[in-house]
Amino acid sequence: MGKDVLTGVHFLSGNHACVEGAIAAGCRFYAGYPITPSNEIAERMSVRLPQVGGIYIQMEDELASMAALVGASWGGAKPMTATSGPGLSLMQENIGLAAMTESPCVVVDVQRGSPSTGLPTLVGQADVMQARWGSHGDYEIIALAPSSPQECFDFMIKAFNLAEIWRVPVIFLSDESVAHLSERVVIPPKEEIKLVTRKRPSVPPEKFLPFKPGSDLVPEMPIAGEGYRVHVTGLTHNEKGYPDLSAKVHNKLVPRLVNKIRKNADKIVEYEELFTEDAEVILVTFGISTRICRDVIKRARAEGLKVGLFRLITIWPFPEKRIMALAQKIKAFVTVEINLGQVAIEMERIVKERCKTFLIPNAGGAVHDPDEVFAEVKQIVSGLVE
Amino acid sequence: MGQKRHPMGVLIREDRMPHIFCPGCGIGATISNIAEALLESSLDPDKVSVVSGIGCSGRAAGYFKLDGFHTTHGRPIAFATGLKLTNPDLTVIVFSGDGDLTTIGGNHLIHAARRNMDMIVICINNFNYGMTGGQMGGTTPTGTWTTTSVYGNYEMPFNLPLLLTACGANYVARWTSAHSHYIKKSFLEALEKEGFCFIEVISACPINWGRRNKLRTGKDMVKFFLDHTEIKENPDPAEALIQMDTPILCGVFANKDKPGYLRAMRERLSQRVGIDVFRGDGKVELPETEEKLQKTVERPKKVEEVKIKLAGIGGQGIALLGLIMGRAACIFDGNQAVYSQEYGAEARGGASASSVIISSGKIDFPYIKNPDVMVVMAQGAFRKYRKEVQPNSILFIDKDLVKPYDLPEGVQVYAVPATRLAEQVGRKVVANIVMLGFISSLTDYFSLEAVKSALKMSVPKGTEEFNLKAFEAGYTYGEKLKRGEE
Repeated sequence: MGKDVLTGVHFLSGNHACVEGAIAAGCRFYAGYPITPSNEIAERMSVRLPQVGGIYIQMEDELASMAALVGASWGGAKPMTATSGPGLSLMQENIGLAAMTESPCVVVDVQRGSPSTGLPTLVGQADVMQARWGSHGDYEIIALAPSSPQECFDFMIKAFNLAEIWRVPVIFLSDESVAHLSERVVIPPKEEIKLVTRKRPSVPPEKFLPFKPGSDLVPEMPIAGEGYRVHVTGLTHNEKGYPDLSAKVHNKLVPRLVNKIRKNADKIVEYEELFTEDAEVILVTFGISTRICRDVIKRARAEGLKVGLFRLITIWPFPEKRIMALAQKIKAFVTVEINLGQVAIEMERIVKERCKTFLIPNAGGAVHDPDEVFAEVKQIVSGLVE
Repeated sequence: MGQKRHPMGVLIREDRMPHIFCPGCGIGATISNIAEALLESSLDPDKVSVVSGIGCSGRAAGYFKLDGFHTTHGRPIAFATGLKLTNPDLTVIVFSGDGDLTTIGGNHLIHAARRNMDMIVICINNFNYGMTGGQMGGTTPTGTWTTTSVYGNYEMPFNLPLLLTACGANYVARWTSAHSHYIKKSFLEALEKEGFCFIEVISACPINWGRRNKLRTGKDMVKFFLDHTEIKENPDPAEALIQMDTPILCGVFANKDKPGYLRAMRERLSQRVGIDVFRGDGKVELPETEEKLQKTVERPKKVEEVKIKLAGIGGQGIALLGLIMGRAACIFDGNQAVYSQEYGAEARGGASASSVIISSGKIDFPYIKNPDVMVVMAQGAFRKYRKEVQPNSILFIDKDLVKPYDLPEGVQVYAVPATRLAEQVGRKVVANIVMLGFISSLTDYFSLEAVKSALKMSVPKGTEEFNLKAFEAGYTYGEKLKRGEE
């Protein structure tokens, strides 16, 4: 007990690894509402957080959970919640508040078959678009997608660091499959885990402007109780934080909120490539589907097919630059995702006429069958030869 | 406003004057009352936060020269919950309107009261949605007129003192915006308390509510409040429903000293986890703990990828069997393993399965299509999964419970009376562990020490020896089988 980083070798489910990653990242506040298939996160949090002096609270709904996260963020916490698609829908209101008030927080979405109640216990990957713009208005967030319990641990630390650096809600797009696989998870010694905390005020209260951005477009963040007596509002606000309901201020604030992510995308974007140097066809994927594609690529290479893998680690912001560069030298991208084309549509938008784009969709309920994906890839490859 | 300083300038943002409130509105007066009370208290204003929702009253957070949070519609209590639990040193005041707190935010209100969450809620009740033009809401008195009840409201309003008292709030009071003295007094009382404190302020809204209800000016409304209220000692909340033809009952409806949320939490947790302070910002000293480091295995045991599917019926501990195998391979043999469970409605009874893949190398596809090994513990499970048995694969069965049929070519069947042996050891429930011992004897997927270590860490404390006995029973049976003795 009283241990925050459980250094050593473990055999953990993706959901449990998320919890250990969060606690290792400094998360000490969790507010949530039960929903399948994310429940193991809440359950383990309710055990682990008290052991490290943190607070687990089960709220009355997801609206409240997300509102509590924003409050906790301004109280100085690195807060977190976990949910699934239907809960993420309810959280959107205050994800918007977090985006507008630049409140660092992490939202784990264990995706399941959808829309609506859909398939509560089975896998889906169809919250890609909801993660990006599920709340009203223009804003940008960061979204990460793990493909294994080890990545659940590692990426949770990344997620908290990104939330702190860029002061945005970070959506952790897990899925039912990753959540419920148990695998080897190696937790490093505490001193090897690099943690980042938000920029704090560099001037005294009388000189401080809470929403004046630095060169990275991110403002310094005070915490309630420190004497800054800050006003924070979801209304359009000036650098002082006061409401200013004018087009002029709005056209300064909202583009900054968007640009702090878009213009800094190079510092945020992460992806993984396999055999892309000589590939003619590249599979584009994320989350659990990465593992199906790796299996397919092994077989393709064994048969001498020049197929590579481009796996999104950050889904948002999208790795546009790299994809454009790859598109210049290959014949086709094939997107493999457990939805009907949410990443694929982004690929089409970026790739345009540079090369062909294909989609191997799957509405959810089970991961892709690697045999079927392989067969389709082979067909695409042979079609491109003619 | 010119150069004249606001009398409450220390606590009010003068640079935001003039405020948005209409002439005759009761909100500004209530803000002043709270500011005065804060000045009279000994609180450090730096340690006081005000949280508001949306609406006219929702603007209050922007006028207090305190840390102020203007949140989303209905959610200030939920926001304040996060703030308070993160930094319990703060005094957290929620100042918002009736529509915000009791209608769109009603769920948060009742649950915060039920939890006795440590905060003070000032609820301005002006009977309507003022900011949006005077629509009816959950507090509009029956028979009154608003822009969306133009024939007169035919709904019942909330009786807030009754609601909040029933939900368990420590402190519940009601006044009107004409009762400055009482508002201050109640607020100062609430500051001394822990738990959930709720002060309803029936407030004048001449522009949007009054003028549609024959109370055209602020003066009319104040006069109405003074003439139509009844202040009582220990009033009965059941009599607090607001009706236009009876006096508005005011007073302190509840004044209890139940532990607030934070104290209740501490009392429950401290001893159990050995920590006294709980806060969301992590500013807690953790006690030193013994380093229990599970080191990486230096020279992992080599194993070709093997895909094992385990099937049985509910209660046979099939899931645990898979988990132990995974732990043995990963933690104690230094290999890779993926464990997954069939996770569907059928898990609630009937046959279910889980699977484990063990390998020295990386495992990409985490599920099993063609198992190398199947372990079947019940006939129902055999029926359900028999089509998955592959030619030339290995099948482990409970000899007494599974009678295999129509097996494909070349299947090697290993049978053990697992349940019978378990009964001999003492309890039927360890049949899965007998099976584990049996498999360990006949295969080389994990080392014997690894599987025993994994077993010990996976069973309830105090049952380790018993489970090891069951394991040995299965293992010995396997060894005898190999020697041709069974």
